[in-house]
Amino acid sequence: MNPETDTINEALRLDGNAVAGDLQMLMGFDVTLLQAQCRHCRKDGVFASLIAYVRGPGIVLRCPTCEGLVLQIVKTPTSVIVNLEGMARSEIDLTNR
Amino acid sequence: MERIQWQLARVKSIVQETPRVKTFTLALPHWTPHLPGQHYDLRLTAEDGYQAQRSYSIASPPEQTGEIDLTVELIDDGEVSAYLHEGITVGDQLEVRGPIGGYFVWRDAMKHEPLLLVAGGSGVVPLIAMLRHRTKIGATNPTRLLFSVRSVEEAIYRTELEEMAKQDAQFELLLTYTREAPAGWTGYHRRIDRTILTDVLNRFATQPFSFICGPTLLVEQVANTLAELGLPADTIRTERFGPTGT
Repeated sequence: MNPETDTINEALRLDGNAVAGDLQMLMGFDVTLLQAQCRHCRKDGVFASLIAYVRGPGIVLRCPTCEGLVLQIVKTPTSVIVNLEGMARSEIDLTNR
Repeated sequence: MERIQWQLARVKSIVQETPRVKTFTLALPHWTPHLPGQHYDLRLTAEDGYQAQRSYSIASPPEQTGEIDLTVELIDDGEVSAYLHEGITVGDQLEVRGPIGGYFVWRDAMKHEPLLLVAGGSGVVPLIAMLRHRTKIGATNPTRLLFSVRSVEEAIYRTELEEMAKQDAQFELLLTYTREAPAGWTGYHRRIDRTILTDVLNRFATQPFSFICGPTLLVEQVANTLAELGLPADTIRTERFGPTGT
């Protein structure tokens, strides 16, 4: 592990808020309040608090607790590929708060 | 929640807030009311089809209809912010979509709860929307903004915030200067730490709901410390801006 690269990665990371526009356009609803469970550590959390890495060729969302891979999004010129493998369960509260 | 679409906004005015920060007022053909704290995505497309996209928080309150203010900090090597700062003039068109996000928002239902806002640098942008809206609806909940900036010159909206604090007995502005403090300054003069946060929490009679926004490392450190100091995790909301500087 390179400590300098680690620090840069830490400073560059965003959160679920930053990818909400892409997902809202795709799914037609706001994902930030989605309650999601990490398949790796089984911890529940709100989508907005997932750690987001957006500077690569795709978007990677990781669990803030165990850093396990929760979701990947890759945009191609003609499609969007979403991998939800790391999400054990998700629930949206329709009362909107 | 409505489906959002890209739309072409027209730049109505540009204000230089600080040496590295400008506010762009965009007139929107399809304006919809936003919640304070929400953002818009902005997309630039080059002639060869290359696209770059960033999220920018809305600074204006929803009472400002038909348009939005986006306050943008010029980031070193930031391809989008550099273009906005150097290549955009009044009358130009920009592609945006929004409003986005329902998590990092201050809702009217929260107007009776004490409110703690913590910002680092341009992280103050979504928080000023909350404060402007709070003033518009005449909320009287105890509210404090802890705002970390390098120097006086870099404190975005400083005059407005100081005026707000004078007019509103329930609002307190707490600045901390991480580099140069003005002459005679007796307030905080360091990065936000556990002692500052303890001090700020002690000014509240009851535990506040909190919103933290700014550079990623500041946001994470403040959120962790507030949780250690006893604030329930579900009353601490965060938004990371990445490597912006304070």
